[in-house]
Amino acid sequence: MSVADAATPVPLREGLFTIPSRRGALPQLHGSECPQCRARFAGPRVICLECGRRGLSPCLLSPTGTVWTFTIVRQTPRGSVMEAPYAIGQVKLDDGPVVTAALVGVPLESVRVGLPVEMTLHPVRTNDDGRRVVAYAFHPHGEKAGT
Amino acid sequence: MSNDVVVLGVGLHPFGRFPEKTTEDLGREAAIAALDDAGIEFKDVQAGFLGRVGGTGPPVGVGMRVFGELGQHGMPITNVELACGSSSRALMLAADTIRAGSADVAMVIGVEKMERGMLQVGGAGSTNYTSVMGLNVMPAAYGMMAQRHMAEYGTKPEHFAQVSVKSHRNALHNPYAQYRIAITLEEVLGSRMVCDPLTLYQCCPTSDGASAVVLASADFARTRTTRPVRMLAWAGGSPMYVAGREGLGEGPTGLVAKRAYATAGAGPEDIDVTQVHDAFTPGEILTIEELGYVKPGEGGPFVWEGGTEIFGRCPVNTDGGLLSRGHPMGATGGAMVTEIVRQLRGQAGARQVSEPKVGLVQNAGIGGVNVLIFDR
Repeated sequence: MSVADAATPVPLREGLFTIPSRRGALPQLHGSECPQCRARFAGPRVICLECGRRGLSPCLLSPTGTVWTFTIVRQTPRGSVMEAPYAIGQVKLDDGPVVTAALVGVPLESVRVGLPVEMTLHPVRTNDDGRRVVAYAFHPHGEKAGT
Repeated sequence: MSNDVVVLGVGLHPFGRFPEKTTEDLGREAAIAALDDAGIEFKDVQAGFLGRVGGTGPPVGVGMRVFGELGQHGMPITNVELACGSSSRALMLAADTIRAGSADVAMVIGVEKMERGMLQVGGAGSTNYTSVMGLNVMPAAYGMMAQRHMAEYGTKPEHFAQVSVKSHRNALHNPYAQYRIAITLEEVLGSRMVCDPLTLYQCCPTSDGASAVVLASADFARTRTTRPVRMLAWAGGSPMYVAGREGLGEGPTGLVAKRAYATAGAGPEDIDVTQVHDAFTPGEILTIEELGYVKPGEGGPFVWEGGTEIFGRCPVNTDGGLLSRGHPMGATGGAMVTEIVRQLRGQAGARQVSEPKVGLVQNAGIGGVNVLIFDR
């Protein structure tokens, strides 16, 4: 394994989001786009919710959006790598889909409805090979990535 | 001959923690209470429906086991799961069965035994991404509804807290309730924060409990009672995709309510007493808006000013609601119906609304929503 490979983080789950190789590029969520009506959805979908077309195309979703709503979770759920208190929110991406994700890199008291955010990688643990395992999260525009 | 479906009997097992009792025990005791209330024998029941989510106890076929405790005369039994809306959906299916002429008498049992602690959708310790990332937290879903409502309409944390104060006060007069203690606004707001702005006392407990409802055709009911409660209208729904529009609340309650009102030939102004799904305090504020009792955004001040109190303009959750009566998930819909029936019969004692004629139940579960209207 090359030095560069060892430095590349591993996603918490394969196929959910991209890990950019280029400095300054943002991670993106994998989604689906309808070739007929252009509606977009988070994750894999076979049938379009908007027009009913079967057979959607894979796409990468916009890495930027705004916080539609949020809350601060004050009790660590069993089995979670997040430690309370932490913020989570529903983020409306600029190309339409709404996704629920952790909101990081912002003081809890500054999280608000309407906050412009972008996708970032969030470290969750180190795996047995000593590589960083990362999840996707959102943070305010222009924040330095947490990894 | 009338096409009416009537509620012949209702019964509950108290809600709370009963580690010494099995799922079957809870269900049987509620069922016996409902049979006695209806004045019938179990052999009169021609179809059984059981609402239950999961909880602890038998993993499958719980309907055969619980109904089997009462007797075995070969009637069809159907297990119904719609998360926290399971037994109200079971009741709709039972009513459809009677209306279709497939049975004269049908019985719904709702039952659940739950573990303590914060409810995590998908189960605590699940390895799916959202569980690992701490996103599948039930109170967080309602906390996010509350935050959006606050941002959009200026609703205040104390408006939500007031729902809990009112519910606990009502539950003082409900012998079947899990929590029969009065709490002040300061105590609600001062309890541990769970998911902002929701504090601990704004979250329903997990519970053990059971409910049972006997439905009958009007013709059958005539042999038992002269003035039954009618199940006037019922409608159900599930999440609707509308591009660019994010919905607040669990499921399309507004749309489902419109369909139920149309069937009943009634409107929000005709409803005298209501049960809504207040698993967390935003449930009451958002739902009274969706039901059309108040305009969008007016729910918070309406609750704050006492509009949903027993003697308010729209009494809501007169038995303490999920917040104080408790929320054994599969049993909740039947418990809501039980309270409406007792109110319409004038049997609600110290929590009795003044001469209600029409009552409404709204029960929701992970996107599924049911609205049922009753009259007498």
